[in-house]
Amino acid sequence: MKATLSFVSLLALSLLLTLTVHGRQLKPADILNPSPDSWPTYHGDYTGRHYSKLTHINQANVKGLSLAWIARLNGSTQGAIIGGKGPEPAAGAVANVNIKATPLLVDGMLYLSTPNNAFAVDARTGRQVWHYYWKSLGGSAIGNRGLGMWGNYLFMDTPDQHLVSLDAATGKERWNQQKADHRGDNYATTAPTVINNHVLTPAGGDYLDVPGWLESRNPETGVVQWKWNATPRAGEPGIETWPDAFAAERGGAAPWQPVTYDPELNLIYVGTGNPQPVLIGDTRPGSNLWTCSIVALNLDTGKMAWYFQASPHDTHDWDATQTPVLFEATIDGRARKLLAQASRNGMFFVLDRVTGKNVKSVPFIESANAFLGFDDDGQPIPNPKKEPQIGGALVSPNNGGAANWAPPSYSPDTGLFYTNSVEGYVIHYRVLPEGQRASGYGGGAEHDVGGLGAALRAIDPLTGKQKWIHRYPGAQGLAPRPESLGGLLSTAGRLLFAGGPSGHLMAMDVSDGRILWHSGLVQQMSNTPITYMLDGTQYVVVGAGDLLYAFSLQR
Amino acid sequence: MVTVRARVFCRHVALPLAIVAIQGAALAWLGGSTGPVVTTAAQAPQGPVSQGRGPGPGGPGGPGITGRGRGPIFDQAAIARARIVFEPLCGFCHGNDARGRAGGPDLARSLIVIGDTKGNELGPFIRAGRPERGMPPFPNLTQEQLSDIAEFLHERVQAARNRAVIDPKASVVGDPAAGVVYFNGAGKCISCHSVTGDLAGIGAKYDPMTLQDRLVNPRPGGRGAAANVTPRAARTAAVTLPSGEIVTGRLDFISEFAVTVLESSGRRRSFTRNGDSPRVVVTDPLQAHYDLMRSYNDNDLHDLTAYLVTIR
Repeated sequence: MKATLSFVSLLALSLLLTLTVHGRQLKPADILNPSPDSWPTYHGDYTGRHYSKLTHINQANVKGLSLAWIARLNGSTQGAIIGGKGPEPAAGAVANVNIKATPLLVDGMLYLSTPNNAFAVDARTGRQVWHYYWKSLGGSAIGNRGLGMWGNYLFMDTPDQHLVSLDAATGKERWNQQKADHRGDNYATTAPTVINNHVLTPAGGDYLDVPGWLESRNPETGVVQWKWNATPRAGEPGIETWPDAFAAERGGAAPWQPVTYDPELNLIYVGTGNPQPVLIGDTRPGSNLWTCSIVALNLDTGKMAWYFQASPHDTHDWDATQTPVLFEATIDGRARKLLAQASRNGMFFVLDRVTGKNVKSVPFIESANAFLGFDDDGQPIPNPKKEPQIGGALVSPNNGGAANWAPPSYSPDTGLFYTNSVEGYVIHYRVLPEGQRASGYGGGAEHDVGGLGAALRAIDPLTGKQKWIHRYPGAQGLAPRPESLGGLLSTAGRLLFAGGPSGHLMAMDVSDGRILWHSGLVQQMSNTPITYMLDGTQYVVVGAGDLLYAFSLQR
Repeated sequence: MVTVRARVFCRHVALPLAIVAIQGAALAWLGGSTGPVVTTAAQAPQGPVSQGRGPGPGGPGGPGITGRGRGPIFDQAAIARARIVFEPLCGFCHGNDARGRAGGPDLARSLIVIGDTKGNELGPFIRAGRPERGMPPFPNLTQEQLSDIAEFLHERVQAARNRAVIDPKASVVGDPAAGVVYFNGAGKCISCHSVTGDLAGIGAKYDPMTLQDRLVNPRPGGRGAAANVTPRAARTAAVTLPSGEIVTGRLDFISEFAVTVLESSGRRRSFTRNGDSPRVVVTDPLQAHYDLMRSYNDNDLHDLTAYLVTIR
């Protein structure tokens, strides 16, 4: 403990010393209480609420919201700072610059990423300051959701499972650390979360039944501090929910989204991925802990405090990685620390985040049909008839889920939880030949058959009832991927910023969903809106494709 | 399952229906339902397809290969020759399918296999063995045999990444007689369809899986097939302008803020929307199918499919 303390004070000292070199540093404490001129971590703060206390833009003046600047991310690697161990980019190669990342805003600079790319963009003007490009050895470049920051250091996950640290001032690489061998089908898409002196970053894959885990690394050196395996190993608690260690060690559960954190409890809240093989559960009878779960881990040790399983023995690719949102409420006269998740499987859960005990479980889409109800712990009871069948099982939601990675929002002003939702249907066919063993996505065939549309829903987490629903007219009779609707942001200006299938940014009344303002984007919003104050001006920044838009009030 | 009792309060969506054609289809590709054709060793005689979910040629190990797409085509004769050698020599530890047992690792996940090109790493490795971990050397295998084994093991890797082989015919499990009853009764299919009229020959037109998919939703939104809407199934819109004029036609586009109608003359007319003004009513000829989605039970669906495949 003493060693840790002196280490921390050393770090603090080194931070102070470098303060004069690089301008304003982001101290870990700054993320605990973010200043209005910052968006210092993926969720804006550690609660996962995607809520801002700013009121300069509000219901009375939002009609005057107008474009401040627009920036196109440069997909060319010409002029980029190059790192990585893979082959040189081909001449004229253009990188994937589809913006899924939530930008960070620190000291007037926006930092964001796309697969293999990191960018610094001046938040006042939209001018690109530097571009870093990672030559990947391979891995899936499906997306990258952002950067983490500590002091003057940025952290980026790469498709080939490296954690890369950059100098925020220059974009130059400080170090890179390999987390796993990408050839074994490990890849990374997440935004690392920085808490105190921990960089939290996951590992996992999709096709080859690799194990998932979360690890904590030292922000200064990149050295591993602890590693939490998302499925148990031989002899560990939870192994009884697998037939054997062979299955558990190939059981998936990659915790592929940023965590949330309660500093008083010193617990991080982690959503875990689906079990593997994904669709056919023959080789993994049991509930398959800790797949499709919300788990609480000690920040400093990685030791699990509790778990709640959102989809026991999942066979539908319904991970439970959606943001565990932290909020407080009074129930029966008692102040409670709570956590809510609108899960991919269509179920909305409220848990006591001290104990993990269930407070509320309720479907948040009307079409959900694969569960028989909830058990005594509030966990859904899977209907075995809705596992893939030879003749087909009609299941809702579909693979994309009722919700996916795009973050929801919680407003302490209304006490409402806002989430986009999709009512997709899929026919799950079992197509595993007799005598063969399923692996990856094998053995099942998912035939999407459209759906009953998409909607933005305002859920009262204490009752599970929905205060209002905005059904997107452009999605009726279809089942767009939930993440294509974009993430959400609520503000103390009593505004909810949302995207949707029509390719607009909309500002809605948090209390009833009325649309108060909108602006067309070149394509659908592809990330999550953020907001901040600079020089007395409040900005709202969103990404759509390779374009970043900043809106502010007309003067 | 208890349904959500929600107070629906939404002034901006007065529409019973609407459509979006492009974005859902493009993004649904990520869901990977409609995959490319990949032939594999386990191919059944009917020529079924494997639904690709895994990464493209070279797999995730291949530099720069980042998408999900078509896999390589394997030399089936080489694989057949390899199995004859592999099963007695290697199957006891690795399983005849090479997917591992308690005694030996899953070779579809082996980094040596994944990193190999046409036996360049595997050949020397197999010949030398790994005695310290219990794998004996196989110095007498010929170059051809090693090359065949490499082909077999690469096929195993690809099979492990991809979705399984599909035999669409295997999906018929229902009772055709019960299907007739449902067609004429609870399903109310007969109120729009006739097996001697519009559905004549339907069982010969589609394989059973496709038939079942399409009977659930003839407009398979989100699978890139939204454009395959027949004129009969097209949605129409009636827009009532402030002047009282009613503009009707095929619904081309709708959002919270605009509606576009394609008139029968071919003229395309767009109107901005502000809440309920102008009033827009969308009519969907396939509404009965959407109503059924929530209420189907799988047995009804299987019976209906079993019946319709007999309509030839």
